[in-house]
Amino acid sequence: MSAAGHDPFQALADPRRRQILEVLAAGPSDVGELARRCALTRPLTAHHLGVMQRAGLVRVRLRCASVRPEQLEALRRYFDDALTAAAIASPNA
Amino acid sequence: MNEAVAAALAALGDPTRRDIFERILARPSRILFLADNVAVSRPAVSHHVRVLKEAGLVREDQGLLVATTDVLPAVRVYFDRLWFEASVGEGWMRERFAVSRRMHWRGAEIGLPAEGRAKLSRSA
Repeated sequence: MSAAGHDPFQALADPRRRQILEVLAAGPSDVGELARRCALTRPLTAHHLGVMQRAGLVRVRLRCASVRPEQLEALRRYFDDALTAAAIASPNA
Repeated sequence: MNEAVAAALAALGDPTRRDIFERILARPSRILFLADNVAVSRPAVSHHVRVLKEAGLVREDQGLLVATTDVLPAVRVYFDRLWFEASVGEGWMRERFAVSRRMHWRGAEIGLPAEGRAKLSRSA
């Protein structure tokens, strides 16, 4: 999860990409339909999907985009571990 | 999505900043110590630390930077929810409710009391 341009954290720093992820979590979507639902142009949607695809967050096949749950699972685990470490570091906070 | 979660994810989007956050997470540190151990200048480290503090990820306790539990639970819930929705969520819930609804109405047809119907749908 670290090579430049392939970092899911970098991909998720952009609110529009998080919006795309939230829409796709509810179910796979046609790229054109996704652009419409996110109120983005198609080229911009394609660009964001490219970044997210390289970060392993989504998969695009035959103009249909879907999320990759295994990458969400990795992020869940990251924040779970981070919370545990933070709770140990500042137990009274 | 909640603004605190958005700020935390925006802060962690920078790889250097995430590296600094992870170092603080692993071990409460001072700015000088961090500056010696990461490949950026001390003013840059100070800047990254300020962003992490503003995002509620880190606090300073007598010069010592410590990771906080202020925003992390909400970020974890955000990914839990997305993961659940994307993996088991929709299909699983739809299936589960369809089955229990079917069993509920079947129970009604054969005149089972509501309690029996609930049992029937649980065993489905």
